[in-house]
Amino acid sequence: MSSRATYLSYFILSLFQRSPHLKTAQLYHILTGKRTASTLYQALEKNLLNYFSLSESLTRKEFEALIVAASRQGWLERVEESFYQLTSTGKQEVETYFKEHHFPAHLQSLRYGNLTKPLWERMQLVTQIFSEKSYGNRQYTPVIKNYAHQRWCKQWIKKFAPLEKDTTRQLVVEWKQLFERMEPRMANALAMRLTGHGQIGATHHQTAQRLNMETEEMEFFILNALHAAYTLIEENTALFPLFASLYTQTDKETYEGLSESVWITGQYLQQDYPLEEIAQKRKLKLGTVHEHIIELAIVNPHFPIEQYVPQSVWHFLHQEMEKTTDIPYKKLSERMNDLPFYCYRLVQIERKRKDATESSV
Amino acid sequence: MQRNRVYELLEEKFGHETFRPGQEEAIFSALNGKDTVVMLPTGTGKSVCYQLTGYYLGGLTLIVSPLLSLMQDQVSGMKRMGEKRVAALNSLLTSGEKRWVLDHLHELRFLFLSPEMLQYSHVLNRLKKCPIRLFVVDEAHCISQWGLDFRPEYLLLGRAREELGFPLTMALTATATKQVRGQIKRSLKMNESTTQEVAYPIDRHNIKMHTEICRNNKQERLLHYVQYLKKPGIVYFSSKKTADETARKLQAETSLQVETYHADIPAEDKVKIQEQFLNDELDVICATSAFGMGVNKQNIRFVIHYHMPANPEAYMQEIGRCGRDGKESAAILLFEEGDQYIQMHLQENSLPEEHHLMQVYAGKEHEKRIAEDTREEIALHYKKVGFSFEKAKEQIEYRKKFKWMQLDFMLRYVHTTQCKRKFLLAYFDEAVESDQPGACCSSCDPDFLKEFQDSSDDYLRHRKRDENWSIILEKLFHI
Ligand SMILES: [Zn+2]
Repeated sequence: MSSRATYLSYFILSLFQRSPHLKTAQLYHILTGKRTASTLYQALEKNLLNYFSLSESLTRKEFEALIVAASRQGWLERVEESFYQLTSTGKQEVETYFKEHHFPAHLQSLRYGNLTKPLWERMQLVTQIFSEKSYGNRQYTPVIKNYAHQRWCKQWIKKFAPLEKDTTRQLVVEWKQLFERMEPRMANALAMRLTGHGQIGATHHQTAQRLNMETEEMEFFILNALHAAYTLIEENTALFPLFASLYTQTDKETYEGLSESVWITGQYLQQDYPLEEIAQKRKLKLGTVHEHIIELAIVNPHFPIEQYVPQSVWHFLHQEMEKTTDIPYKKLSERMNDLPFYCYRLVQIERKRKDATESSV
Repeated sequence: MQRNRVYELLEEKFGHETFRPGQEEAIFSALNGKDTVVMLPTGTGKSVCYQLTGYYLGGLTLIVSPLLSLMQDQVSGMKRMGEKRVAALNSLLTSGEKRWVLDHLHELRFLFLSPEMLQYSHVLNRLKKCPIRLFVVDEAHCISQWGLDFRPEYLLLGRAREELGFPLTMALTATATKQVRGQIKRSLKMNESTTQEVAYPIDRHNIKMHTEICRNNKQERLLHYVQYLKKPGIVYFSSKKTADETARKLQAETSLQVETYHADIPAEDKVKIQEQFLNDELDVICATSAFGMGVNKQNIRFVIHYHMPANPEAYMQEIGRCGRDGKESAAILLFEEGDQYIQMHLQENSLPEEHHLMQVYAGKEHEKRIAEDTREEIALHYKKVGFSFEKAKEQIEYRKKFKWMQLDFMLRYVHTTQCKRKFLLAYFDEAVESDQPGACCSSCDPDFLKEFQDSSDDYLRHRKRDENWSIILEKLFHI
């Protein structure tokens, strides 16, 4: 495996390290982004939310071949039926590999999955427009051919960012502030892909060449850099008024990391519609709305979970889970007659969140 | 007609003092009220022909154009030149935008549209209310089933033209045989006796032709040529995979800047590659026929065909991309026994089979079918334009035979010991002017490629790329 193993396969193996006792079928659904409340919860449980839908084009066959190859090498072993874990040689292999190659630590595929491409395209286009404008040139080919993006950027400039010197200065300041806060190698990689006056950005192949990486690793590297940049923008909107404006608007258009239907439910919830009414208005089953709430709670760490769990239920669940962390729903529902499953799930999510923040401190 | 006004417009709108060959004849023919078929090689300023005529005539000029991406470029190109009254009408627009365009026809000077737009009666009805001074069909060879890029929807343009009351028409095409020119006129319902033809000679003296028969050493020969010859250049392949593999080899084994260009390259990279090539940052592009349309680079020094093209039209069009600056350039065709089968295979997959036809013809009239592939699409359009099943079948058989004949011609071009130029031009019914300066082709002078050796100082412009973000930012913005 070692000679032919790709970056992706090492990356996937590293996930077994991150999350012991991983079911391969679960992992496959997480990587390819099967958007169900249960896969999402599994991703949260296994600490793999950031890799949700990371590799949508990965086929089952490729994925299984990769698991088989790693098992043959003695890097991966089956513990119980369909549970796998890394062996000690496997751990060593993965560690050695990521000493020589970068590890994409900033990825947030669940949150930024749909946002990644359109936002980056708009940032590039806006940069090109202001760059050419600063040189007084009107004759150039937009680097992003997508007509809808071109139109969108024109509108955005009209409304929010007048094509004037002051805006150009602000844009330069924002790029600088962004790049200064990133690892230099990542900042350089993003910068070399920008197109503007007298500079045409590097293609995929040229980027890989300059970073001295195989194409696959380079793609992870760039994705990682973009997610790092997006996080910086999201968390420091005051530093990046222009980028934040692009970010927020593009994020809304791509449903803020949610599926369209869940996003719409979220909009109703923000206006305090009762769940039954949302179900009625949207012609959905109440159970589906509950699933939407679960997805909302998983994707958005600030989602106010306690608002959707009746107080008595909330106290009961916390108390029980304090005693037995992994207590199954079935046991609890025997004790509390009409315990709704989604409440059980929501409290689980709430506790997971707390664990995650505590362990990261 | 005021001749002076024409020259004034040339200066005023295009900033030129003189016409390029063929432009003037085409414009004056149209301004004399004659429908005109204009055959000009690509990259010789076809657009000036209809734009200037349109300006002179005033009112609305309609331009039917087959390529959506090209249309966008044309519109933004004209806008950059200061023409605000130009718009496009095609499937890329939202319905609101389409409506806006149709509501503002009387304010427009130039309207680019895709052929299928003329199939909609609400579009035609709007256009009928607006005096159309000039009806332009760009890439008119797409009409011909015997031509290079047959587009069935072009067959319906004649009917649209009739409905619009036969407006003055200018059909523009690149390389096309007499037969194709004839078919353009018939399909557009142009009057064959009064329609003018302006055919600029397709021979380009400065492009020298070379063919070479390889024996299991094509890669080595290519490697040799791209290093030996003056750059930049294009290498054409008929397979994306071979283009990729060869590019990788060239990147690994030479110090040249090489990129690949084909349908699978991400859109963003396509733009970057084109722009870098225009900017002299790349030496060689390994491409499929997807590369070249709309790329107007003057100093391309060679075009090498790694695979034999399907027909002389394609070949002329592709080699015509080198030497637009008038300087000597080389067109090299590398052939290896067996290459013809690659083309045969590609062609077998490009025409509808009987079962495609049967499927389409068995469908009910009102049934709205969406074509699944180009073959079914062609079948659908035969039906739409009213061909009987038998006639459609006959047409397809004819086209098959015709394609074989074209391929066979290319094979003979490779093997002929006669003057390659004479041989190729004979296909387009064109004779070679007798006194050619300098070398001509590998038959006339087997060693002519010596003159094309790269002396390396004329193409030494690989700037070192900046890799530091702060320097990149500094250069990007002039503040
Ligand atoms: Zn000759």
